[in-house]
Order: sequence, then structure tokens, then C-alpha cells
Amino acid sequence: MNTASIAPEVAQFAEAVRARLADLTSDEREELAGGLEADLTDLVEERGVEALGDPVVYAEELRTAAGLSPAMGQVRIKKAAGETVAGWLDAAHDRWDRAVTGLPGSPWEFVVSLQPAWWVLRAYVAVQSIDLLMVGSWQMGWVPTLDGLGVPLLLLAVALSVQIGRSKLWPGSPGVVARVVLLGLNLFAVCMVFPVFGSLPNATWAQIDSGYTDTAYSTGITSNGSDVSNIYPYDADGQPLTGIQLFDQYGAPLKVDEYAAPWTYPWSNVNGEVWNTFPMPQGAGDEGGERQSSPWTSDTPPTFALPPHDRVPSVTIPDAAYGESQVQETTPEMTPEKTPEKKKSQKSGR
Amino acid sequence: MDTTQLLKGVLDLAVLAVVDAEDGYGYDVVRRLRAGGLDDVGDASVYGTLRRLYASGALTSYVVPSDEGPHRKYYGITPIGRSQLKSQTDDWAHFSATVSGILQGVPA
Repeated sequence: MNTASIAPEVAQFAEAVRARLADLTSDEREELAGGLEADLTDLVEERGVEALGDPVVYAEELRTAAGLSPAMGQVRIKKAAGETVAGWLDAAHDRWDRAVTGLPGSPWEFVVSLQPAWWVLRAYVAVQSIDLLMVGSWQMGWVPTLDGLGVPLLLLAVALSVQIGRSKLWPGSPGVVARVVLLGLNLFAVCMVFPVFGSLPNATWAQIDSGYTDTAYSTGITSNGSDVSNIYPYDADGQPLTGIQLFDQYGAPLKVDEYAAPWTYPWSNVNGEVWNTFPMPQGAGDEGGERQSSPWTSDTPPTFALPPHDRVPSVTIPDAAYGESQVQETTPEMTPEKTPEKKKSQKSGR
Repeated sequence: MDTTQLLKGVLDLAVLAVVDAEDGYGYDVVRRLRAGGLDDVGDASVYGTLRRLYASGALTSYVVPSDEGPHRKYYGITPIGRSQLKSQTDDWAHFSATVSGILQGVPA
């Protein structure tokens, strides 16, 4: 059908009339309103747009003259599907009710009395689910962050959820679609309870405030709960050392968290980069703020930071189990000048 | 004069008579009824009546597509419609004569 020459008023009116025939089959609708645009177009041409009047009254007149009930009945097609689903829901509800009534101690009544708690919980889970999707599970806090909107959103969600639970807000009259949607949302909330709470293992206020990852996720050595980013070894004489390879009790390389201090750069051996050799040189990142991929050929090669102490007191153990015992007297105060000469084993001369 | 109530009973008959004279689409039938003197006949009533007569087999319908605008749905009378028209015409003549007779006996 060519609709180009139908006036918008006519099209709108015809659509409104057809909407009032929605309970009929498509064949009936076509018989009743087929050619309607053409008739209305003639009418408008002859007597102006104002002759159209009220589409609802018009549809009633049309229905009455056609021998149908003037008021629109339940929309049949939707009703059929809707009734089926509603029937299932009702049947399931009945089965459940029959199953839980008469149990000793009325546990179901107890559960029902906890409903308000569920309304709050599902709101919390909903907001946390959004947080989970947006920031990922490694940064989840007990309080949703959401760029600072977390708390107001949470309060709003709780209010909405409780009002829905009390049937004050939606669905006003529980139509089948609303019931199914609500059921789906509730199931989703139930399913999300575990992921959400599973993402809050060691979350702390400090973590929420700082956004730093929890130490539980650290990949390197920690000291007093903080990541160690570099290690400065000194020998028994108290002289700083360079290029010390460290291994743990199993022989595995002892590494620091490679992200703990932007940016440390690894030493290398024949197999490639090694992360257990200290102190690690430090350098700038690339333009993207990442560790440089080829730092030693760049304009800003890594350098060794000055060790935290020029010297430390020399150390000793009695009856050393290896090599020659170090029985040099310890000097508690640090000597200001560095001694670059290589470490020599010194025999006690006393 | 308000003939709305009176019309209801005889709209079928009037529509059948108009379509019997010549096939017509909805608004065309309305127009001819009005031209015949039924000024306040409602469009929708006529369309509904056409639809009901079609459903009962008194009318047939066919669509005439149009290049300029929306397609038109024409109605034509069937043999069933013709016999219905004939019997209803007789009924109407008898009925209106009866009512007229009664009215003539009523003192003005």
C-alpha cells in the first residue's frame, strides 16, 4: 500500500482506532479497518481534519455496528500466552505452598518474615554487580565505589527494591510480564550473590580508599605487609653489594613484585631476564607509562639508585660454618665515606 | 431531527440498498446515504455495518489498490444480500405503515 499520500492526522487516527481493535484476530481487524485510511482521507478532504473526532468513540461505534462488544476485551493473543505462563507460575506457587505448609515449626513462615532482608540484599547485590562489571573483581569493596556514586546509588536501589517488594511501586497490578521480569531479576540477584560476595575476600577500608590491590594478590616479597620493590644486599663487612642473586629454600628465584615500584629493570642471564638479582636498576617508563621494552638502548637507560646506607655495621657469627670466620669488631656507627675496594677476608690480628 | 435511535434498526437495510444500486467503498457508501437524506449517519457505524453484512455473507468485498493513496475496500451485494434486502424492504414497508397508522390515531 502506498502510504505516501496519507495525511499524518489520518495515519495517527487510523492507528489509534486499530489499537482499540487489538483484541480481535488480524483477519477481523483487517475486515473491520481495511481501507480505513482511504475512507478517512475522503472524510478529511470533504470536511476537514476536525471531522475525525475521537478515535476511541469511533472505534466503539465501529465495533458496535459490526456486532462486537463496544469496549475492547482482553487482548486475546497475548492473553493466551500470558495465561499459560501465569498458569505455570500459579501452579508452581501452589505446589510450593502445599509443600511448605504444615511442616513442623512453620519454617516457611520464618523465611517469609525475612523477606525485607532479602529486599535489601538484592538491592546491594544489584549495585555491587554493576560495580563488579565496571571495576572488576580485584578492586571490589564492601561498599560499592562506582566513582563515588556507590553510596547514593545503593540507597536508591534499596528504596526501589523495598517498594517493589511491598508492591507499592511496580508491578502495580501484577501482570504476567511483570511477574516474569521480576522472577528473572530475583533469580539473577540470587545467582549474583556468590560472585559478588566471593569478590570481597580481603577487602578493607584502606583498599577501598586507595584502590590499591590487596597484598593477597602480590606476586613478590612482602615485608610487614607492604610490597618490597627492591633489595639492597650488604656483605658481612657492611659494604653494599651489586648483582646478588637470591633463591629461596627450594631453590626458586626470589623475586620482588615487578609492579611495586615503577620502574625496576631486571638483570639478565643466558636464558633472558632474571628478576631475582639485586639491587635492581631503576629507570623511567615509556611514553605510555609502562616499563620500557628495550631499556638499555633507550635515551633514558636505567641506573642504580644509591643504596639506602653507604655502609652498615659489619656482622659476624661465632664458629662460622663456612669459609673463614669473620671476627672483626663491629662498628656500630656508620662511616660516612664509601670504601669502594673489594671485600677482603680479614683474619683477626688480635 | 435526531434519527440516531431510529437509524440503528434500518441501517442494514439502507446500506444494502445503497450497495445494491452500485458497488462502493466505505466513505462512498456514507456519502450516498447522506445524499439520500440520512445526514447524521456516523461513518464508523456504516463501516461496522458493512463489515457485519460482509461477515454474514450479504456482501462481498474486494480491494482496489491505488497509486495515489491508500487502497480502497469496495463492497458489492451477494445473492444472499439481495434476498435479505428484499425481505427487509417488505418488513420495513409493513412496519412503517403500521407505525404510521398508529401515529395517525394519536391526537396531535
